[in-house]
Amino acid sequence: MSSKKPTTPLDRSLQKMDVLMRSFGMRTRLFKSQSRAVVKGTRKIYPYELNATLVETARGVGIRIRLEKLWYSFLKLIPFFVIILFSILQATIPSAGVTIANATGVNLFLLLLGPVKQENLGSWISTHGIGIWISLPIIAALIIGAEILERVIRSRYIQDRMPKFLSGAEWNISEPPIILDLISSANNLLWVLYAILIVIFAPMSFHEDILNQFTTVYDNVSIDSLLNTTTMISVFDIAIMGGMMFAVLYQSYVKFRGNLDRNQFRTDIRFESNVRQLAQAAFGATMFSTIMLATFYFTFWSRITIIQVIIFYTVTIISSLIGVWLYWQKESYIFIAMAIWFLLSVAVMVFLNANDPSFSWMIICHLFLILMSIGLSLNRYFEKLMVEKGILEPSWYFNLFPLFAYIAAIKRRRIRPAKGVEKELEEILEEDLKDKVKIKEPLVIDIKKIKNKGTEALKILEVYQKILSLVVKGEINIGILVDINEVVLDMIKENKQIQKETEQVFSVIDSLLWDDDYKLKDGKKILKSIENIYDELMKRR
Amino acid sequence: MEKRAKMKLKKPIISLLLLSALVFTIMTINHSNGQSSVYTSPTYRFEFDTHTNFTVVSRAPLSWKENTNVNFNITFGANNIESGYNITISYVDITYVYPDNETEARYLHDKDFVLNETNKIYNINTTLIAPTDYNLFNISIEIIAHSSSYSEDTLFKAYFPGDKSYIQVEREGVNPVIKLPGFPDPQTFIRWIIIFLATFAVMITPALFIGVPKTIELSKAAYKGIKKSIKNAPERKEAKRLKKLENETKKEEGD
Repeated sequence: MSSKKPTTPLDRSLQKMDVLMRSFGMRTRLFKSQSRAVVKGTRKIYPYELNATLVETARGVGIRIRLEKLWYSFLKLIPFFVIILFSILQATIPSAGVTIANATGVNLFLLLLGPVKQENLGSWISTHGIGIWISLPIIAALIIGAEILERVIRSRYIQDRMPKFLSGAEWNISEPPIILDLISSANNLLWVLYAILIVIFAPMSFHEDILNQFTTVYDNVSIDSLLNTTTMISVFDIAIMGGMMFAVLYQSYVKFRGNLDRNQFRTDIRFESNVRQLAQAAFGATMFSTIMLATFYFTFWSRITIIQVIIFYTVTIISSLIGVWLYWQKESYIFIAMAIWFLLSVAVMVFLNANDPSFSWMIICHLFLILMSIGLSLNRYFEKLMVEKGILEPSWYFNLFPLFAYIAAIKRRRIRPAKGVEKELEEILEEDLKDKVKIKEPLVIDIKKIKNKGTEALKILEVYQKILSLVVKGEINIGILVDINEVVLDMIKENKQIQKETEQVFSVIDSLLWDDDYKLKDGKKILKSIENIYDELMKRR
Repeated sequence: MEKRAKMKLKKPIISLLLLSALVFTIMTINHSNGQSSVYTSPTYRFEFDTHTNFTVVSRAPLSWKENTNVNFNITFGANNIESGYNITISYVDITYVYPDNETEARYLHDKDFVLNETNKIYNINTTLIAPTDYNLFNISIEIIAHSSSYSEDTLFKAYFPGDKSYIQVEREGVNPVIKLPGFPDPQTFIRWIIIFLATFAVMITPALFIGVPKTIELSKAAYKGIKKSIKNAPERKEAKRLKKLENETKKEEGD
């Protein structure tokens, strides 16, 4: 990239915009015509795009940044929509659940929305139905809002910084707060844990007869105490899994952002990054557990006590801290720790079960949930594939169906990784400095190179030289060249047609002088028009 | 991450020693805890007459942990036996006395032993286990004895703790009896397994996504390898060589 020296201001801006977008962690595609260029940057695996249109004008290069394909963010609303739809169905036709249970043995409403005692079906809907209809839209708005806000902030940053960047002024990368990323990807975690809760509470949603058989097997345990114990153990499960997985997510984002901007990373370390990271993880875990509580209270945990809420908060925070610490040792330890929790809790519950048979269900369930922690750890292998493809973006992490990650992975084309961006930036800044020095040196034209560009190229330049000598005597350097062009345009401003021609000719000469890959087209026409300009100037002397 | 804490133990032997020291101290602390709170009952003095009398003192902790053996020690003293006299103790019966219930026999010592001036002290050490159904109890010690001066069997009763009302039973958690739950009704279980498998399948889709193309790739490579090996098999090579020779000879013949 750096070996090719850009020539026209448009080229230069294009290259800078490309680097700038990649420094924000996007992958870019470039489109260029003669006077217009478009840089498309895709940040997320969700096909959200930033489009930068660069237009070359007489006064310089204009930039306009636009957000595109933002509607893909709203795909995240699908699970929220499904849950709300089912709760509306349950409220309007509650008998449908029983009918389904009679046919299949599973009450679909109770399976998806959490179990209740079968007799209290009607009353439960009236008390909690409204709650779920209020809380879920709020959480959905929060998650989608965070995602969109993050993108808007990023596009603003680029729009605001670009003029400074083009002028070669010093600047640094600035990213929207990490919490926005975390809130938007907490969505993935929320639904993973929701799925685990569905598995835990599944037996309670079975048909009444089946449930009665279920309880008789376990020493005639009452459904009430079975539900209470299951809720209590599931609070521990969700707190530990949620906290640990949140730590993975948080650390992946820290790693990702550290990759983008090494300078930022260095300052982080200076600020006692370890303690700060732990504090941030604890803060994030509190936020995340609030989101979880607001969702699960109206579904699975309707009978949760205040003590269990306190336990939930403490265990989530502590497990997120342990998770961050384990991640520093090795990432896979987190998943091993989750499996150990399931195994040890089984051992403890076997003893507790001697006095209270209501633990029986969770003992069996935990033995199976160990497989879940193994399944979740397989995400890491997918991450490796994504890194191979040049995608460090962790937003797909723990997604139940990472469709756009699949699409990104299917595309065989290797994408330029964002790792080397700082180096490129330094090169560009250095180049800028060199150019500033070059401006004052006398202009030397390599005739061999120009001959290669077209048969009439040399003749055009000869005429151009004559024009220059009309305006300036002595040595010519690049800095003066721009001024001379303006003077010439000023001299012939009365004849509009020739002025238009002149602008065209000057841009061709610009390319002839600086663009190595340029090939001259319509050479005769341009030669004729430059001769016309020369004649016009001679007339005006 | 560039900066990661390195918490590897550098000298495993030292760490092993430290760990064993830790375990040992915990064990000794636990052990001494059990022995430190031994309570001594007041001295019970029984007499047949002025020449023959004896004392009974018992020792045990005041709070007993459930399901653990507790040392119960009874000392028979023969301080005031004059020379020529003796006391024979034929039965020592230890029974638990509950606040609202009848007694329950727990331990019987039916070995005769004789107390005389030369044989001043006799110790009985027994291990007892706290009752399972009661949290408070005390122990009565029934002694049947006769002396050289009074030959008829006489019953004496001493108590532990004696001056305090009851021994407490400490119940720590629950009875560590393993009672594994039976698997639920198969119908329920199969339904739940289906739900579990569906969720699990959704969760491992990223892994499947990598796994399936990789296995296809591997199997393709393996297939190619097999094909190649069949091509280069020695019998096949030999057959080819023979065919070539045949062709050549045919050509020569044709010429």
